[in-house]
Amino acid sequence: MKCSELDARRGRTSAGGWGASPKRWLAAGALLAALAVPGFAQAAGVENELATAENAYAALDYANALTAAEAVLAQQNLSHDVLTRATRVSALSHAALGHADQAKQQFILLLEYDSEFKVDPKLGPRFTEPFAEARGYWQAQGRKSGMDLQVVVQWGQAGEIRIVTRDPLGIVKRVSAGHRWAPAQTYTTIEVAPSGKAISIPANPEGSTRLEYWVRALDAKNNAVFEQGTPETPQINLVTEPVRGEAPQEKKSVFSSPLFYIIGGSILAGAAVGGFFALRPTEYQPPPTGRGVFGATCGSARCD
Amino acid sequence: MGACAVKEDAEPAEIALDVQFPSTAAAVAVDGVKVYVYDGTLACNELVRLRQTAQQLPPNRFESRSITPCDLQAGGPNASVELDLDKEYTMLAVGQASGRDLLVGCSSQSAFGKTKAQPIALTYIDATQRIPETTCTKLSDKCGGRCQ
Repeated sequence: MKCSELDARRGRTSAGGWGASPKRWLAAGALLAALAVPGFAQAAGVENELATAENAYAALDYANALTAAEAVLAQQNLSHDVLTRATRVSALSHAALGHADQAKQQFILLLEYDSEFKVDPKLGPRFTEPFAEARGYWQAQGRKSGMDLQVVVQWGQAGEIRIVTRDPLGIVKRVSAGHRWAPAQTYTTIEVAPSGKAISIPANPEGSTRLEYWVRALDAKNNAVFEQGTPETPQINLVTEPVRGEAPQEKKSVFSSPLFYIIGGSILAGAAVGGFFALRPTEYQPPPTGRGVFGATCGSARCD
Repeated sequence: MGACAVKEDAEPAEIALDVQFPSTAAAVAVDGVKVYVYDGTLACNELVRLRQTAQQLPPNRFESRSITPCDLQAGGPNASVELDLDKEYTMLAVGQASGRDLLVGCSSQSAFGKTKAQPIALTYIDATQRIPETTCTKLSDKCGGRCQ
């Protein structure tokens, strides 16, 4: 994460100031309102500390980046995103400072949290060597870390969410999950032991077809090692009502069935629409580009 | 199909990429600055180290000609580079005097248009080097030939 990216997250802008846009004032109001809620305040505090770490890393101040990242990692109840980002800063800072062993250990952890993480090979041996050792460790495990979910629910029947965690490091201590049938607002939350477990889901109540759920695999400090969905942005699974009440009928020609014409018509309409989109000339939309103009400053002011 | 209107290309946004000299004297001392633009985020300390130790730099996306501090001060098309606003770049700048590296700086850039570009702060490539004395108090005096 670069400084400028972090700046964007925090709403910093290059010019114009806060007075320039009413949207910024609305955003500031929303932020202040959010900070009034303790949970948000805690999350915002961790985000700020993490931003300090990422900013320091981007500014090549690796010692301070490491200190700030370690301070974040010392906390509890970290979301998966914060945990992953803080570990990344810690690993890269250790590598930049030449702490090969610590960098390797942090890269091993990082690959547990994010098995797809890669170090840019252009970064040089100080970074790539401990990362290669960490990848070697994982290759020796013979499997990647992660969490798989299988949701088995049908209309009008109780179902379950099957959870399988793959945790070669053994750092997942429990799995926490929540589910609700929308439009219910409250989640039913359950905690189970890690590895292969199933959570029972009651049958969908009348008028509800949408199951919303989230699952988090937590370490000893309640940090989300793996995460699928959150209470704010849950995963969704829909159930559909089966067609009922059709009496058995004698065999008739398919041409006498209205279903034939409905399906046939749908296929023709689909082919026509698909053909239109497939064959129409593609409109080229170039990526947004800009012209970087180099200027000069002498010290902190523009050169005069 | 006739509804597909031809879109006019908008003028590309202009992003100020400041090369930050440590002082006016340093800007006056430098004959030219070369800027190397790399795709993605590279480790600036590694790039600087490669340059300090006269090793080959990795392949770049763009390498500027030697831009004089006067051209930098004036800005304009002689000192510009086309950038994709969605991408991240690493920029290494090297200030040379009398054909030798004098200053070097590096910064990573991303999210142009949303945030201000990071300045490329130049520092002395070798701590033992000294900036030659100058009678110029302003860079514009040197550019106007009023001092050396």
